[in-house]
Amino acid sequence: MVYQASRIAYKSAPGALHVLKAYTPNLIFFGAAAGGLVFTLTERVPLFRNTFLKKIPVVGDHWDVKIDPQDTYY
Amino acid sequence: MVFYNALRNILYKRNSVFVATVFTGAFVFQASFDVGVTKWYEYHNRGKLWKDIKPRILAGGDGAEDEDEEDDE
Amino acid sequence: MFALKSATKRLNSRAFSTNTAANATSFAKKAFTGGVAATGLAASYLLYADGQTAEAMTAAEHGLHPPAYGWSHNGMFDTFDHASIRRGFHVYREVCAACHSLDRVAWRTLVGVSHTNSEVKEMAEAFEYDDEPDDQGNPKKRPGKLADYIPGPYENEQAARAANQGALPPDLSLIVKARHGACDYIFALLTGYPDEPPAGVVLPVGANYNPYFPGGSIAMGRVLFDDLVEYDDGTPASTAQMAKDVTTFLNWAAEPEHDDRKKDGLKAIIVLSSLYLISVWVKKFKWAPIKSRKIVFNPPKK
Repeated sequence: MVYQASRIAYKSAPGALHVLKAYTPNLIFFGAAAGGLVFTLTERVPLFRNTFLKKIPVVGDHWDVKIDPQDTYY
Repeated sequence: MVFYNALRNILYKRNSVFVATVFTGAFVFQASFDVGVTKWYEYHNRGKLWKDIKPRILAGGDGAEDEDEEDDE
Repeated sequence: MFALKSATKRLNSRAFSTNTAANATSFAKKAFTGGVAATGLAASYLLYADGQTAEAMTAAEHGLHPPAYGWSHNGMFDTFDHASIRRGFHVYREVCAACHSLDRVAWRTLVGVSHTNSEVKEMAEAFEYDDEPDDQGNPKKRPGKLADYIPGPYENEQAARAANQGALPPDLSLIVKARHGACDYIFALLTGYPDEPPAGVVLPVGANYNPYFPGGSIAMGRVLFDDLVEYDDGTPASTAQMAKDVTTFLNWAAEPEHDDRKKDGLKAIIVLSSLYLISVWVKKFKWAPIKSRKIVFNPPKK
């Protein structure tokens, strides 16, 4: 006769914080993706150009469009 | 094969990374593509554009100095 | 070997059976022959009937077709020659504007294309436009602004006709788009006036002969002569030079989006053809294993 003993193995249930922690990298990357989408779609909007795009280091000048007043009727 | 494995591990493993790469890539592409095409286009049409004749006009306009040869049909 | 043989046999038998099916009844045969005969007779009659009438338009009435000139904006990716647009506007103002309007072109559109902002402002201010009435309701005038449209030489169509023996000088805003042959036609027309009409041509009073104009009789006389205007960039103002410049200008007036359109077209071609090539590659990539697979059936041995 084989002796069998069973005992309840207690284990702490993973909380919501735990789940959040596991997903952190994914959420960061999806956030970056959403940012990229917003930048892509608003590239031509002057408000976004002046607020964000112009201030990108190194390449920001690309969106800082300077038109000679002699070249435009605005 | 090494290249494809690296590609898989870096780019496709997480959907979030893949989607982020697509959108930021689109942003970078549309700006740089526009710059590249414009550059070629203006090189291809150099001498004919407004920006080519503008300095001469601002300088006073007159003067038969450097009127590039007009191909007369 | 056996397989091949049986295939041939099957083919033969199928060919044979097809033949049998096509073996028409004598009624179907007659109907077919009748149909062919009726079609032939109808076609012959139509040809004959067509030959009974004369073509009203002679070649002269269609107008001489212009030669294809080598415009510097002909190519898919070629912009207008903006120096030429500028000279062309000069010719328009000094020559064409005496009779032809340019209703759909606003002063502002010239800015950054052929003239600077201050130049265009100055030109616009030389004209008077209707202003809002004053407090007593009397009409007022004001100098032109960049937003105004280039004024025409006549108040209305009746005035234009009255001044030109009944002929209406067409508005030139879209003339390049509105004529067959486009630029080539305009240039050929402007430079194509012979010294005198060919023998036998009878023209109405006040009309001029131009072989490129449909019918040959045109109300507009030759207007461009050597050194008629003096270009501010020193280009010799030959007749051909002025005609070329004014045609380029009119083409710009008709298609002000031209330069940007060609650039966008270039972009679209690059992107769409790349996407197309990628799609071909993906299709091959996905289908290669399916198309090259070999399905083998091993029959059980007894």
